[in-house]
Amino acid sequence: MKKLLQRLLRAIANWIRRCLPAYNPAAWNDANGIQHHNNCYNYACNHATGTFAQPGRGTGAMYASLSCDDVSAGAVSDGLAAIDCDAGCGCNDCCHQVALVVAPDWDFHWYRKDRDGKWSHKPGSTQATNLDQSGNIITDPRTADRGRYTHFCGCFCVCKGKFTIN
Amino acid sequence: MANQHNPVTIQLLAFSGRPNPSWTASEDLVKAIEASVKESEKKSYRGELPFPQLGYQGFVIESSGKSSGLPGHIRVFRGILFIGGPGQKMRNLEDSQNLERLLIDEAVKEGFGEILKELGVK
Repeated sequence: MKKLLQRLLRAIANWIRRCLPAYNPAAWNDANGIQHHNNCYNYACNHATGTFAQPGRGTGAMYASLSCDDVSAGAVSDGLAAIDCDAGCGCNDCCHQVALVVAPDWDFHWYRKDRDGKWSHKPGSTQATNLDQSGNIITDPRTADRGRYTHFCGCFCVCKGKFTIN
Repeated sequence: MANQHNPVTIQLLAFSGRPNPSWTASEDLVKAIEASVKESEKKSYRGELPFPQLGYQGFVIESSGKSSGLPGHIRVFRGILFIGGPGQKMRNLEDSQNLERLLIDEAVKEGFGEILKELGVK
């Protein structure tokens, strides 16, 4: 019984390590290319393309307007799956949770949920951080200070090997 | 000196998701940036660093590093020059020549005045 429990705990730990991104800003915050050429969408998907990735561009369905509907549709085309923020992504697949917000007709922004259960983000070309606009740790992007990115569009799952961004 | 094959580009860091506005620096502007950076090299910045936020985050100057006397990558924000480039460790210098002001004025000339206004940058 004890061995079974140990095996189960090891399997859970392995799944977490394999599937959920660690908050490790140093991997993104360099003095040159990685930080500058990857944006919030790259960071949320935990995939550095070096192209300032745009929702939908990788699958030929780039958003037409800076609205929740259009940017969400682009992300879904890329393979992200819309979900209930409180339900999460489950553990059947290797997925982590991200959230989309929009400053209408201005810009979009993404957050991602890390292994520690907190959220982090990368504002454009700048460094990745786990702090919101007020300098507080982000426990929930719905309630975080997001500045002018006032429209909370929803949560999505990003599943390893099942998305294409560019 | 920059040339058309190895341009020095300036990017206004305004957006998180969509591409930022950018333009190619004129030869005069490259000269002014080079002089400003050279002067700023005299003093490292040792104060508190601003934490990353949404909204205006300054400017990035990118060059090949071969065609001009500039480092490959410079970010200018809130009185600090963040100097980097391929394989280089980040150095922080004081923006003693107010390069950021020069770039704001240049951005307005390039037609990005409305964006700066929206961002609350004067």
